[in-house]
Amino acid sequence: MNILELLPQTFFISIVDGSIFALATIGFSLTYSLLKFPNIAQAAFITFGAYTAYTVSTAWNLGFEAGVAVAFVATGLLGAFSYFAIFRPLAKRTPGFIAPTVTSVGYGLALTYIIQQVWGRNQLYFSTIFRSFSVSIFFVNWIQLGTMALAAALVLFLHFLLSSTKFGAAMRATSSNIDLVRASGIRPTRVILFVWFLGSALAGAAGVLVAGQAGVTPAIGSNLLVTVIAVAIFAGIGSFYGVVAAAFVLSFAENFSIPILIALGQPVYYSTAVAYIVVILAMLYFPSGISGSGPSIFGVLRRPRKSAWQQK
Amino acid sequence: MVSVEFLSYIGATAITVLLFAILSLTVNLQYGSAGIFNFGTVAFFMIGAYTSAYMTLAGYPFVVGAIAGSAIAAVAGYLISLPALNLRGDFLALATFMFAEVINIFVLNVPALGGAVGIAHVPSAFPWIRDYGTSVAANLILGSALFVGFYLLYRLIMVSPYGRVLKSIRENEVLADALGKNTFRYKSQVFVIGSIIAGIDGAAYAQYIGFAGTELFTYAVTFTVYIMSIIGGSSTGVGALLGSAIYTAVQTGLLILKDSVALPVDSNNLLFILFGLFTVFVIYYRPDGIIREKLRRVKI
Repeated sequence: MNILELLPQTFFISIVDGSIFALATIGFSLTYSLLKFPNIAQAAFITFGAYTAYTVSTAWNLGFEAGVAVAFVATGLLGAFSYFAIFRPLAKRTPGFIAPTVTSVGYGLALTYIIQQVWGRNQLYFSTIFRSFSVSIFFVNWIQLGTMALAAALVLFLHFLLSSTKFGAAMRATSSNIDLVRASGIRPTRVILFVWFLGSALAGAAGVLVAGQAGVTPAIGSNLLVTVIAVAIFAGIGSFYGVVAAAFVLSFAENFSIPILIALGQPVYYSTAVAYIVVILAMLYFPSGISGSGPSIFGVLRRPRKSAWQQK
Repeated sequence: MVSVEFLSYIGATAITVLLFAILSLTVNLQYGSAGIFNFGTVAFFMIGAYTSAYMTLAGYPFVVGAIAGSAIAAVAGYLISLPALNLRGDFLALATFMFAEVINIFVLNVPALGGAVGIAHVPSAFPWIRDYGTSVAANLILGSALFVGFYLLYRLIMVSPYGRVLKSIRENEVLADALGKNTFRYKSQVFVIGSIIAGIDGAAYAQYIGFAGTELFTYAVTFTVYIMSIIGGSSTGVGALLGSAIYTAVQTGLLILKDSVALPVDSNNLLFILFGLFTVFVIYYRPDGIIREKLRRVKI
């Protein structure tokens, strides 16, 4: 088989994978930029989303779309609850990086095994069957198209939220200077709670989309976790557009290394390692990610509005 | 009269405690004293284990394998420290975390290192001992000797002027820089020392369990060691041992509990659920760990 024939298919799969990576990472990155620690329990949120969708769509037979919607909301609520019950009290007691990180590890461990207790450890499949069809030389599956569409819609929604609404401005402000936000009369807790809801909901959605293609296992979240971390550091923590760009760079690096590895006669499993090495090497030149992480943490791409004194 | 089986069981648990205490000591050296977030601890542990397993299977004695393992771990630690230490603290944690993943994926796909099967039948450091009880005792002595040796090294570093520079880097790196200390070099050296200790520890671990496989060296190990370090107290040497002992005691206790009590939930799941919650509670109530650093009064 000619390797060049694989390229259109690889290109398409890279876009689908990139959409999933972006969804899974945006939440991780948003919460990271607000509370300044990586929430390892995000892996458990991804798994939780996948299993919730399984229960709604397959066990209760309500269809895949309903599963995605319920998983989105349920995972979001779980995330908001986690912040409220665990991480907010902890942040009051111990500032720093390692203590909340290790706490999230422990919390994620507990959540993952609760999930495993409830749903079992066997691989489960959605009853919905997604048809494939061929477009000239490559194959397309409906769930892949749905993944791309959902990811695009959510990214556009977030772009609108962050750049054009007052609440988005409050989110950006909270991530860059929380004391100033408090002084301006915004309640940071509400903002952070909403970001945790949104970030976890996106992780849940990413979990469903992965599971729709490959089935649900308790390991689905931890398998995605390393990629999420890679994308987040490659992007520069908290940069929204950086995350989207980095997700696609990483998925293209991972998928396009497969034909190259085949041509070189190496195991294709190295493709993941290739993607991570790309990230590690990129960090030599961009020590804080491709979009940097200066004061404008959410890094919204828009012309700065003239401030009041400039307009006079 | 206590049976030999019971003593062996206690001994085997103690060996696990000691070997993980050594790994936890590297965390205390890097994170607790110099403030370096190395989330790739398991990579150096793994390099030591695999190198030693490979060398001893080829016929070399354990000491040669351990030295080779620590040497390769040191080189790997030095190489990864060059780009990584330029990064901001939390980026360093994530970069080293990914480095460990890369090493794991790499080893998983090298047929010479056993691939997914791993390296089985790793020769013991004491090949002349046939009896199980005696080999546990010998390993216990080896583990204790290693822990005491590395603990003394840790103390030596911490009471020396070198250790005070490390602490000043932890507290305020810019200040240490301003005082004319080459902070990058100090951090790089500590990184390499930690890698060497982890490498030797990995060699001891591989010969003790007689096996080296990629599933033993996932990122869960790094997190476990950090949990131990945080629980015990990350800025003291004894904290590493205490953290490891508490971790193992809780785990063993839960294992015994699950065998003796009929539970409505799957016991393996319960073990991890309880352990996860235990970690959350300990960090909430004792964020600095059980043993805290003693602050010295300095005469001015």
